[in-house]
Amino acid sequence: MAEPIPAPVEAAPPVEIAPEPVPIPSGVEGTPLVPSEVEGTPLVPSEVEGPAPSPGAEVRPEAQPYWNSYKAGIALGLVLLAAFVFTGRGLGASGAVTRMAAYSIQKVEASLHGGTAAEGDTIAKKNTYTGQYLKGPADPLDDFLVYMFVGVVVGGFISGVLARRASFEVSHGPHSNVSRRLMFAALGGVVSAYGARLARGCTSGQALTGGATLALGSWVFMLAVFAGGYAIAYFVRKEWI
Amino acid sequence: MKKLFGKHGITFAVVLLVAGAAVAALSFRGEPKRRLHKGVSQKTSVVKPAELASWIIEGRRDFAIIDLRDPDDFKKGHVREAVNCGHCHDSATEGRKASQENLFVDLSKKLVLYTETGEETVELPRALTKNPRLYTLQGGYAGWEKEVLAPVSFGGETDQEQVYAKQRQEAVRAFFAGERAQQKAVLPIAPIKRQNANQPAGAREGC
Amino acid sequence: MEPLAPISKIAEWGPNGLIVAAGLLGVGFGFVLERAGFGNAKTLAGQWYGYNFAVLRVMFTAIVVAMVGLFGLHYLGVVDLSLVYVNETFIWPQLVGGLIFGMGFAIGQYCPGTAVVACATGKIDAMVFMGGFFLGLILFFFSYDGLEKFYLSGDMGRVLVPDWLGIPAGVVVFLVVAIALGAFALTHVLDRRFAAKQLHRSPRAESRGEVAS
Repeated sequence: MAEPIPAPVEAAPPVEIAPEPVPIPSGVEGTPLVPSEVEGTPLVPSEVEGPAPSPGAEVRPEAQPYWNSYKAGIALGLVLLAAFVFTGRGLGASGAVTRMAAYSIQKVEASLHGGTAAEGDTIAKKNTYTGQYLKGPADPLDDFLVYMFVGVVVGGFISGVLARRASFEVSHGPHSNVSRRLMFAALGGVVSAYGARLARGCTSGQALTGGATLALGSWVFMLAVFAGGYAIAYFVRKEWI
Repeated sequence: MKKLFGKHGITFAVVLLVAGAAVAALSFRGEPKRRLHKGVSQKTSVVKPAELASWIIEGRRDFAIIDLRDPDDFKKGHVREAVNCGHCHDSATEGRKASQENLFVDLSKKLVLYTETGEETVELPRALTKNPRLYTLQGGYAGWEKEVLAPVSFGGETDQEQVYAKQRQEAVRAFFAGERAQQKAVLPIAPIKRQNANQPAGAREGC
Repeated sequence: MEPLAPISKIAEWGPNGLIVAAGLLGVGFGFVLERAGFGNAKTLAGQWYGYNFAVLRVMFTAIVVAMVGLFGLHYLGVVDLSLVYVNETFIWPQLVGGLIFGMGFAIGQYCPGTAVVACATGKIDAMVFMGGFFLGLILFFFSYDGLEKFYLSGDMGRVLVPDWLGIPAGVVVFLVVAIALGAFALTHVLDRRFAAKQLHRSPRAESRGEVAS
């Protein structure tokens, strides 16, 4: 296994988790051309782009590698299974965000009208879609998915911190820059939201959960997502490769 | 292949395939049978058809009868004043629907449940299992038919007790059939032999 | 053997139990997502450009594991599948919505779940994505009235793929497992093809999710 790649980088900082050179991931044994599993992002806030600094240039604690995909997939599958077994529901993300959006419009409107007396009459309540969350006596944020959302934030944060991957940065491709990336991110967000609400879910709620329960609509959604993604990816490829 | 996927990859793939095959095999066994809710089978008492019949005839008002069979079977014949629960035990959603539609009569009464033979296991909707006074009809509807509705054949009784028992049975049957009880021959009365039946009255008696 | 699960519906936990469960499950979900590298747009982008198939591998492995577990437990009588919430099928909006969502995914390189995780680890582009998502939702709310008919079209109710195909669910499970494994194999073959292209990449390429893990 002739692996020249990791050697210069690991040699530099003395006090860090130096992963052994080339732990070949199970999926790609015996193919020397395929790169190793060593991954991580530098902890110093910066734009992540371009070639690595020359050895010894900076002392950075190396972030830990990502998990092997299959291991992560098994873990995620078990979390999903636990969700079914314990609560009879799956996972989900966009439902929580939708409720939060409806709630915030309501709050903003109510405060613009000045006082709680006007809360009954907002556009948000009258709107057919958000009305379903806002009309009843129940707090729209008192919902299974919202609590799960909070958990996701916490879980992601803990993992990021433990693996030293938490940092403020903007990731983008080598031929792009921060502002373009942010533009695309915003646009992608708007478009995704529309699609997510039409389909009543996103990849976690529909593809993962619905896929595991073999719901017909969810599988259709999943295939459509891949189709739509591949169709557009060609046109934005300069952002990433 | 090993070169491409590695040892762990092969294990992973094999495990998944075997698990998938196992699930497929299990599915051919059919959907899992539901059982009588655990708590219920511990709490149920058994009531015999004859006893249930007597409750009905006496006009007791402290119980309700629930038929757990198919609606078609129910139409063909059911215990008097039984309520059919239809599909209420097929799934939890059906059960909830049934209680929402007020299908179940007053649940504070004793509940007598029956199925076709009394041997089936069914899962009861939660509304029913919460009742502490559950009874199952012994033998189910088949037992009911056999003991209560079947025609009674007289003859071959050896003593009066048996005759009375059969007459009771016949009366019950007639009640449920809406008929008059048929009077059947009773035991042939043995002629009472008088001691001196054929002798002239005064032969032995002195004057 | 009577079903033990879903526990919250059979054992009657009450609302607090569900809240705790939701939170804990969310923590697990977020943790694993981040561990899989999904808090990083480059990992997610690799899917479309063929340099990192993590998305496909993680997602399908998760689906397959959960599916085999769920249906296995169902046929063993442990889980009562009729009590498990299954997404209802509204075939047209889900199809079109999926296409649109896929496009948004390829443009923004995030989806709501991964964006949240990325926000939690400080990725600014993820925060911008979520901002856009919020905006998109508001746009949707106010255009809903015109869309309502389409939104509710194709209502097939709670239908599972095996019901639709008329095959027993266990067989479908097995087929999905087989297809997934085939897809994984394909990604490895593709990895090798792309490996040559990546020889010239910088040593830190892996660390940014630019190559497969």
